[in-house]
Amino acid sequence: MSSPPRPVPKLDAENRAFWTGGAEGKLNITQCGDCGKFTHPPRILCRHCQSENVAPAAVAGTGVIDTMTVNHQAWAPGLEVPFIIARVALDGVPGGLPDDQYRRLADRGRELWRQGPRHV
Amino acid sequence: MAREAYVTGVGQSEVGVRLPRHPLLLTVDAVKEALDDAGLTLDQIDGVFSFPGKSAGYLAFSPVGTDDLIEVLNIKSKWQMGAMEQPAQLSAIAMAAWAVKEGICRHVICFRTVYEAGGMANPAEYMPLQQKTTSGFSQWTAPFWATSAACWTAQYAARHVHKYGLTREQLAQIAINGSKNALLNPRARAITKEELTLDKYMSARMISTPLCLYDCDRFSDASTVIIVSAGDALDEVKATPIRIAATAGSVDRYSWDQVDWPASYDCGPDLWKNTDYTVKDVDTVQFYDGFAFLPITWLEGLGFVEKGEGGKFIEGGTRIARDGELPLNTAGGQLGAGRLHGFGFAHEAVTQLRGAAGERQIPGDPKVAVATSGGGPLAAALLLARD
Repeated sequence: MSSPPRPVPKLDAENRAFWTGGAEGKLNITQCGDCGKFTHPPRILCRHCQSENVAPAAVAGTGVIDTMTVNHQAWAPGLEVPFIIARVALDGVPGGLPDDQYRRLADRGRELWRQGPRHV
Repeated sequence: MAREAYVTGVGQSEVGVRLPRHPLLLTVDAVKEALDDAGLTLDQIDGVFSFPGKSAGYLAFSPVGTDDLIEVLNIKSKWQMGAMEQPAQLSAIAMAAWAVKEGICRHVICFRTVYEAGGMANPAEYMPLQQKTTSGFSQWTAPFWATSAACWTAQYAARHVHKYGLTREQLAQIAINGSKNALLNPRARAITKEELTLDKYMSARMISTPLCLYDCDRFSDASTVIIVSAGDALDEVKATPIRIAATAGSVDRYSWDQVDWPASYDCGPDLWKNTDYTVKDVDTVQFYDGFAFLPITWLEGLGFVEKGEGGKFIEGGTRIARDGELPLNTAGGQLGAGRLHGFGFAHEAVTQLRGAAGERQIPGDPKVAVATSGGGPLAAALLLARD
C-alpha cells in the first residue's frame, strides 16, 4: 500500500520561494532587509515592521522539535499511518519555542521537513 | 437595564447523526422552540446573527446563512451578521449583545446549524470536493497530512503533557464526565448510549497522540438558537432572562505552528475585566470540548486554576461532576452530546441558570455560568448571570 499524493500548494508570489526551495536543498524563510526579522508563513511584507523590503533567506534547516504528535488516523484513503507531525523551532530564526526536552528529536525533524517540499 | 443584554430564549432542534431532515428545517425547528421559550413572536425579531454564516464551499460545516432565515421566516431584520472572521462561534452572541445595547436591535436570533454527519451521507451536496492543490491556510497543513484540527490540538496537548505532566488518565475525565452527563440529556441520545469507562478510554485507538478516539467530538446534525434581547424589551418576554454579564474574545495567528498555546489563554483575563464577578462566583462552566484537551486550556486561561494545573484539577473527575465544586459540561459537551459547534454551551448555561435542566440540573440554585467556544487561534467566552 502506498500513500496518496500529498496535496500540493498552489504557488504564488508569497509562497513560491518556500515551497520550491527544497528542490535545491534550501529552506527559505522570508526575512526583512530592514529589521532583519523573519516572517513565516511568508508574506509580501514584514509582519514586524511592515517593510516591503523582504526576501527569502536560506536558513540552516536545523532546529529543535518544540512539540509533536504521532498521527494514527488516515485522513485520506490509503494514507499510511502512523506518522509524526512535529513542530520545529528553527535554528537562527527567532520566534520559535525551543524546549530542551525535545532536542533529541531534532534529527527526525530535519528528515520530516525534507519530505515536505520534495513533493512540490 | 436599557444598556444590558439578556438571553431570553433558547431552542434546539433534534440532535442526530445523519438526520433526514434538511438543515434549514432543523434551524426553523430550533427558532420555533426558542420563540416559544421566550414568549416572543417572529414579528418581534429584528436581528439575525450567526457564526460563520453560510459556508458555500463546505455546506456540511455551515449549511444555513442569516439570509436564509430572514427570507423563509420573513423577518424584518435591522441587522444581520454571519462571518467566519470572528473570534469563535459565541462571538455571534457577543455581537448580538452589543447590537441590543446600542439600541440597534431589540430581539436577535443567534444560531449555529451543523450538518456534518448528514453531509457525510450525502457528500455530493454537502462536502467539499477533493482538491489536488491547496492554498491559503491549508497549504501549511495539508502537505504534511496535518489535515485535521485533531493534529493541531494534539500539538498543544503534547506540550502540556511534556511541560506540566498532563496524563491520559486525567484527560479521560473530560470524556467520561461528558458521557455521564449526556446520558441525562434527552437530546444526546443519538450520540451517547452508554457511560464511558476509564478502561474503554485507555484501550481506545489513538487518533493523534495524546488524543484518542474519545477525545474527539462527534459529527452531528442539529441547530441551536439563542435569542438575545435588550434590557428595555424584557417586559415583552415571558421566560427568566439571563444577563450577558461579560463577553471576551481573542484571535491568534492562524498559523497554528507559530504560536505557543491556544487563544483561550489570551481571552481569559479579558472576561473578568469589565465585571465585578470573579471565578469564585461561577457555579458551572460549559467549556468548548471539540477535543478533550481544550477545557483544560479554558480552566487555566480563565483563571480557575494556575497554568499547568488543569490536569490535576480534573483528576478523578469529582470536582467537575454535576455535584462537584465546578460542574463542567453538564449537557454532555460536544464529546457526549454531539458537535453542536459552540452554541450548545450557551444553551446549557442558560438552561442550568434557569433551573430547567431536569435530571441533570446541578444543585445549589446556580446563578453564574461561563460558556466558551473555540480552539487553536480562536476563542470567545460569555459570562452569564441570573440577577
